[in-house]
Amino acid sequence: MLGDLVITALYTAFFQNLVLSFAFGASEAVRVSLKPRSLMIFAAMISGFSVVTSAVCYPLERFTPVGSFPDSLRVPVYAAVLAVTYFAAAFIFKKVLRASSQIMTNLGIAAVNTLVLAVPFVNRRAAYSFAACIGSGIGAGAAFVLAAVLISKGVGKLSQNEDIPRVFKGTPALFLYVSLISLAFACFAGNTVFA
Amino acid sequence: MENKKPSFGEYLMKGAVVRNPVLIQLAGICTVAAVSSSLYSGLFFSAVFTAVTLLNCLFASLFLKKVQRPVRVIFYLFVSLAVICPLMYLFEVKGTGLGETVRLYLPLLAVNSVTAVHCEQFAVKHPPLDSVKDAISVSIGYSAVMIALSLVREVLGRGELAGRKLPGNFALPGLLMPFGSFVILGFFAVGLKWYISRYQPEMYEETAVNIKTARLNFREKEESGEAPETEASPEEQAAFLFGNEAEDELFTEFWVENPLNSENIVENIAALTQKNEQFGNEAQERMNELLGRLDRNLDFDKKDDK
Repeated sequence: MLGDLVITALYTAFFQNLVLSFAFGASEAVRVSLKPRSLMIFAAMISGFSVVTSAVCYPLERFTPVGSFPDSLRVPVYAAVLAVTYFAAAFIFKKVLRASSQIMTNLGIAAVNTLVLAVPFVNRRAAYSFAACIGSGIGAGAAFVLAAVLISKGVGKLSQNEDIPRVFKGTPALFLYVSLISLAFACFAGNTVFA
Repeated sequence: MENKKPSFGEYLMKGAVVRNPVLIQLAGICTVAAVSSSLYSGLFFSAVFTAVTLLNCLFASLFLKKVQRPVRVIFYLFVSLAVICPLMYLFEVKGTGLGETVRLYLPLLAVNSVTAVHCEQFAVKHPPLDSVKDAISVSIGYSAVMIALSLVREVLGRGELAGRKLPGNFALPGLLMPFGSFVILGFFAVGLKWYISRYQPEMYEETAVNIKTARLNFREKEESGEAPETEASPEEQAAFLFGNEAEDELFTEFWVENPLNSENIVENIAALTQKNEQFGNEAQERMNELLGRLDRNLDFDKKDDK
């Protein structure tokens, strides 16, 4: 069981990085990488939401009629699970931890994004076991950290490079840099890039 | 001075071009990068995105102004699903095969960051008509990028156009992967920045958004011995004073309305303290720490007493 969890987490983070190979949560990864101070807390929140959503959706799929629903009905169920998880987390952060308004804003972005909502779909398609679903949630957070750290380091170097032509500075250079990291992950996964 | 409302053309120029949601604001990248592998899916996603954004912005402007931000986020999710789920159901009932990629990414449009960003930054603060104009301009910006990207990827990646094989046997399948999208988006962004620098030079600075860079610029000025009342932009000042907190609406709005200079620094920080004690005090401490290094000190309490 633990083996399933670890292998799936590693697979999701490194081999098929959900952010760089599938672009799930790519906007958030790019935007967070521009603010390195909030990167780790944001990634922790994403991991938390992915794990809880995966852990709740698995038994729902397995032991309730949700498992036989068509996608059009399954999506609102996943969204409802995400909403309840988010409200519970928001309550804890606000009332118990007395979090600042900035952390509450980050919490909203960390909960409602394509990476977190995609994880239950990925789990279902891959027919993961419960342990693998948890591993997938943890791996999603790790994939996010890896992507955001790589982008953040690159952006730091790019912003100091005076040789970049004016119109390439900023988002163009950022996109081209992200494409190179994404290409690296595509090759890790053994994809044929140029047939 | 008369407060003139921007025309639709101005909304369009700003929302679709100068502040393009994908190429400049870096939002909505997930769906754009993943599903833009054929012209049809690009057109389909653009249409759904437009419906979702219009409905959300209108809804936010009409009903969510008094709702707390954490709750609004969930409203956007379910309002979007109200468009997407019936559409998916329709496809399921009709038996029309949605591609595997489209089936996976279509529900994710419900949590796309473009809609959330524009609802939060614009719709909840403006009347419905203005919100609709903003939503239309943003949708045009998103759709233009999505359709152009789909076209280029289909032609170069598959050697097809709208599903029809093009003459010759040319295809780079790598461009159908997300990395291909990022490369092409990079060159689209270059084209957009070139256009703005040439035809809208006064707006060029708006294409560079980077809080971290802003903070660094201000720090560089500080380290080079310049006084804190440099000509740093209000955003730079806010970023310096509050770090990541500067992204909070309160600071951004406050500092844009009250740019810092040697005359008003004490008044501004005192006013901020009244508005929000915690952050006002942080600003005082930060500014005094900075001025301390320059052998000066500001007595905020004294100014307050006056």
